[in-house]
Amino acid sequence: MKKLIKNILLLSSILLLISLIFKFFLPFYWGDTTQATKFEYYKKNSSKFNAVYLGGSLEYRHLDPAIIDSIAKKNGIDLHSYNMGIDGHGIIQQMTDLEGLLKIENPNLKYVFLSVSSDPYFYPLNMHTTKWIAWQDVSSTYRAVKTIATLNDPIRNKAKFSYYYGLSWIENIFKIGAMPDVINYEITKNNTNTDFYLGKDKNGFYPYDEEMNNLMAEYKWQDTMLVESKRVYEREKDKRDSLTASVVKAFENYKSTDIANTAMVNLLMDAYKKCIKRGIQVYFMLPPRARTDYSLLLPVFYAMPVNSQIAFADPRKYPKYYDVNYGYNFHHLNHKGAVILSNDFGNQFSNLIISTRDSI
Amino acid sequence: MLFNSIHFLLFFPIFCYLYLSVPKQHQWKILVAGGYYFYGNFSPFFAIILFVITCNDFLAGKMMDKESSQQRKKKWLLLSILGNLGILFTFKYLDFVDNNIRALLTLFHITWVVPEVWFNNWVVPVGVSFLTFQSLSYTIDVYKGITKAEQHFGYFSSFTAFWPVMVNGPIERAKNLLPQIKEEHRFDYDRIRSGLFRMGWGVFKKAVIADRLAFYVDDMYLHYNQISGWTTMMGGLFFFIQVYCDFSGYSDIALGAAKVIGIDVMENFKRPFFSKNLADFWTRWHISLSTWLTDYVFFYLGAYKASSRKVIFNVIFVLALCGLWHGANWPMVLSFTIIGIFMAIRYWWQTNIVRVIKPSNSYRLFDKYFPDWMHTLVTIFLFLFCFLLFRVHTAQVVINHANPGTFTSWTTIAKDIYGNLFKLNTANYFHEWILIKGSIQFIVLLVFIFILFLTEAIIGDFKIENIVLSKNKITRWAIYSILIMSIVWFGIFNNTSFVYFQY
Repeated sequence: MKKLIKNILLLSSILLLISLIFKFFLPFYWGDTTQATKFEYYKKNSSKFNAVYLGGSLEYRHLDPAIIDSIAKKNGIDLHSYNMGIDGHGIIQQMTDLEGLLKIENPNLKYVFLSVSSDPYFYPLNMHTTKWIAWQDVSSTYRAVKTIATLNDPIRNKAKFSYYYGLSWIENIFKIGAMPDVINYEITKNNTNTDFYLGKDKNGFYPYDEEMNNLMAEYKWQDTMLVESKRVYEREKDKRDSLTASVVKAFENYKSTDIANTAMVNLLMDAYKKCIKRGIQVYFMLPPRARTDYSLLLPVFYAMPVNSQIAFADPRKYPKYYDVNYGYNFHHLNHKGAVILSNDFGNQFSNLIISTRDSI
Repeated sequence: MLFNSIHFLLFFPIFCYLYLSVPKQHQWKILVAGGYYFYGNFSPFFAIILFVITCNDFLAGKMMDKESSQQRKKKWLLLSILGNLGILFTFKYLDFVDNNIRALLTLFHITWVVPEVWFNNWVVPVGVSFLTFQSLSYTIDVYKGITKAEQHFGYFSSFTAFWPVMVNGPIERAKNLLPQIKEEHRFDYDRIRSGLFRMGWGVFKKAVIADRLAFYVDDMYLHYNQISGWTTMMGGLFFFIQVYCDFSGYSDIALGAAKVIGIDVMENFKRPFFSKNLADFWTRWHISLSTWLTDYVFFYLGAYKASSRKVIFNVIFVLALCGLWHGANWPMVLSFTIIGIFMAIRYWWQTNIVRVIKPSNSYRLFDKYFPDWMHTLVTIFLFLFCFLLFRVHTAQVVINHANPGTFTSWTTIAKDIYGNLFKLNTANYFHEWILIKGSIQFIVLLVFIFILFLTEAIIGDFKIENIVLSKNKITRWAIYSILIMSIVWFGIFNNTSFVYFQY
């Protein structure tokens, strides 16, 4: 029995050691073509940019750096921003993205924008995909488990997602089922044929309307889903209305005395401090149409430093963002909506900079 | 519980530890508990079915043992047959029969009295065909006097609930399994090592090859009306290899798992891609089912002792039955019936032509210019031709599910697939199909298929675990490491599709 256990452990150790070698030459974004394209481009052109937006698709598909930069310029602010938002990235992955971003040499980097739009949960069907496992490490797992533990949810749900994060981390350590994608990444990393993910201005903004005309997602059926999501959104008025109503309700019910989730606040504040230490100013964004309940997001967002908050999620103040004419699907704006949002974003950001400058 | 699940990864060592450490008189209890846990994990209802089958056949066996006349024994055998086939029919074939009666009556504008919703949502208990056939073999053997009736309900329950073979075979016989279950099994390093390696080989076939092939096969059937002959040909071959790797991989895991706990289970596959003819193929493919059908149906019908015409009918009938066993749908039955027809033609050719021309020079010339590897190629092609139908029903379900409101019949799919087979002058949807998962995945797939067949060619009819374990330590460890790395790094353990949860 002892011999058997010893041999199994020995075999596992050999596998672990060889698997760990990959850690030394694979960046954390190797599993996601979109992210690899965006990070690699930024790496090569980092000195061109002094501001970066992080987050998920609510940033990737909504924030047009060209518009925001031009508004900032009109207000006398020198802004050259880059959109690093990636579809599906939630609060935990955003922290990994930030760490990766800070490792890239860029003495010009002055502003980082973080999204407050999601909790640590994710769609379980994404489990075991390279895109999901590639970025998992000990600190991301620790952050996820710690944050999940503080959420006001049934213990079963929390245990399930904590287990999922742990499992994904192990999958990444051993590169379970991921070797073809590792080989693929190594072979194609210098290709430029995925540059369309950067958008036509090569600043990382790529609205869904444009992607619809250039369907070539990594997994073919995602294209179908993308097109279908638009159709369903346009067809189902009741669902649209009920989603908007739930956001309105969350804003109406919000009180400044509401207690924010401490783990989420700490996570974002850690990121804030990390950037401040390097002389980088951090702004927190509360985008419209988030999938996560705003009653969880609002206290967290308002717990962030006051002069770093950029919010445009309230349907009462910004009804256009919830209008069907500006929507692509239930949780995303179309290009027209993104243009309006980028304008609002540029103005809010400029006002914040100006007011901070004035107060000094 | 599936063999390729994390649940099984936890279940297996705990089960083995308990089974191999408890005293002999308690080992059957662990086997029964493990079996019911394993099977009940799919659904507690399935465990009840298993219990009913066990009680029915235990009672039938015991009563047959008490009876002295064959006539009376026959009544109990009938009870067992009705019980097993009744369960099988109710869960697996009732919906099929109902649909066919409905379709037939519709032709005559008659409304079938049974509402459509009655049977179409019944869940088929996993592996019910294997369970019932295994249990049925026991009562038939008791009736024939091949096996003594088991008097201990616990041991008999261990036989029916022997989890390694329960869901996907091999269909074991009581005369092989029951005596082994009664023996004492202790920790044996060499057996465990050998069993684990065999399990690893099975996982390799299933996770690295079969599940990777599934992408291509699924996609080929999904585009059944756009594909060229090359895609059909290659897709058909891929499907053939996929079924082999999936099924034989599962059997390897079953054999390995049983070996770890000290029990030898019959081999279910013996390099079928090296078969020299159709008959040879059935001695290498799903051996436990083909021997079951031979022993209990083909011999019952008279085997080769009957007239030539009867033999031809028997061969086709048994193969059609084999198709029906595989699935309650017409494409499946038809694909096996066609194989049966090919086998019947071969039988006729062998008995009427070859027998006459064998002594002649022309036959020797034919033998010279038509070597073994060509026989193998022809055999593979014939099976490939029939196997294209094997998957049509599943494809039809998927296609109709994906396109609600429209109905595609299986005949349309089959017609297009076979119509495309010989269009080798076009390359419609060939390059796109090959590159559906990227060039790397395709190359990886071809490399592993090559490794599989090369290994099978090298080991011959020996068991792979015996060959590997006979090597020196360095070679052995190198093989272990390569196998583990191949499984872990290249195995498919996911749906490989990323769904953005914002949609």
